Amino acid sequence: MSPVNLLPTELAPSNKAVKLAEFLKKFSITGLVVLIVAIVGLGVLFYTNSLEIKNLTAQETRLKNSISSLEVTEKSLYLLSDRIDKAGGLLADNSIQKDIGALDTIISSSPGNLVISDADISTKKCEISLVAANSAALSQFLAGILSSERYSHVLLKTLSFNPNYGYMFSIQYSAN
Amino acid sequence: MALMLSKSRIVPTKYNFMTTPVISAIGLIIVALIVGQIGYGKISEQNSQIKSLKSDITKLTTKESVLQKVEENVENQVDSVTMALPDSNPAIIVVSQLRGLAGEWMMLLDNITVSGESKDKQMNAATVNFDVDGDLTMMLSFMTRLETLSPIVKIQTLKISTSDEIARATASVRSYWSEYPTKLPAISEPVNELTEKQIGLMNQILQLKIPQFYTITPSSPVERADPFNL
Repeated sequence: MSPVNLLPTELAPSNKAVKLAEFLKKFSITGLVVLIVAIVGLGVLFYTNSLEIKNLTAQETRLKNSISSLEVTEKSLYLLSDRIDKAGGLLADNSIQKDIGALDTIISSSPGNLVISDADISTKKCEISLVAANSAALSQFLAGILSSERYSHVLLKTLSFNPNYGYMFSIQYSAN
Repeated sequence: MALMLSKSRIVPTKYNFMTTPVISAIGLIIVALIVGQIGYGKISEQNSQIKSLKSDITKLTTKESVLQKVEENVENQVDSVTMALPDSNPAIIVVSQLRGLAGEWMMLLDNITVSGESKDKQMNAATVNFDVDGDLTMMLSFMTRLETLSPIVKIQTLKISTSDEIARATASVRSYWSEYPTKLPAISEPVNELTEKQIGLMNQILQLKIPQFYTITPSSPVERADPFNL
């Protein structure tokens, strides 16, 4: 026996409304399942992340403790770096040591023939009076000064000859 | 009765069957939005925390390995380097070093004076003036070796006069010091190994002649002999 609809036609819902209700029911059920799965997924992700954070925090604490135990080394390295940087500026500083070294080399290469009578060496200029026993010692000194390429201004201030001593001269030069 | 009337006005009786599906769908969407927002916020927070921790751990691991690597050498080298540039006025040590070097080169050192402190190259500096007598060649060699001494000294002026084969020089050298750093960087800050340039400079500093200090060890008291009961 086929069902009989006793409702008046004006009270029956439209087909579209029935379909929409069906769709909403399916949507709600599917959505609920998806939501539950998503919540479980989020829970798992949250748990694994929490574990990872715990492990990483423990690792970080261990490293910090290890570094704290190396604090003396860290201090020393920091101090070393600080000292080297500051001392580096001093070591690179162009002092008059090079001028003295150049003079030492020239004087040592002609022992007895070249004597300094007066010298005034400062960071700005060198002013030296010498006595050269012969012209060879004089030219050797001048050649030594000129070949060093350190001095941009070389001025021969006086030059005289005394038969008893040799060549007496004074020279002034300054570095580049 | 009034409620029923108002309900009947909002949802006609023939559509009453739709109330539950619509409310369920809206409720689901609202719950999904709330869960999504809270979940996303928490997971994002955790992810950024993990990222930050990993970055810190990388820095700390590098720092730990650098410190372990340099541990042995640094502590040996730091003494020599801090002697070259100490944290307090090294004038007395410089004078001692000058005397020692003068003795080695058979020079006579006198009229030693130490002038006041000044600032030079962002460091504190003190000037040591002295006279020295001796053979000219030896004197020049002595002077060239002054800058091989530790603490670091720089010759400022040198005046030499010679008479009767004896040279007399008046020299002025400057010694330097600088306060030690007072703060270490934070533990999470990276620490850098010495650069090639710094290693080169350090080797130069390590070649400087450091002063010899002697420690006199105290002797234990001895029993005094009784002079009346020998």
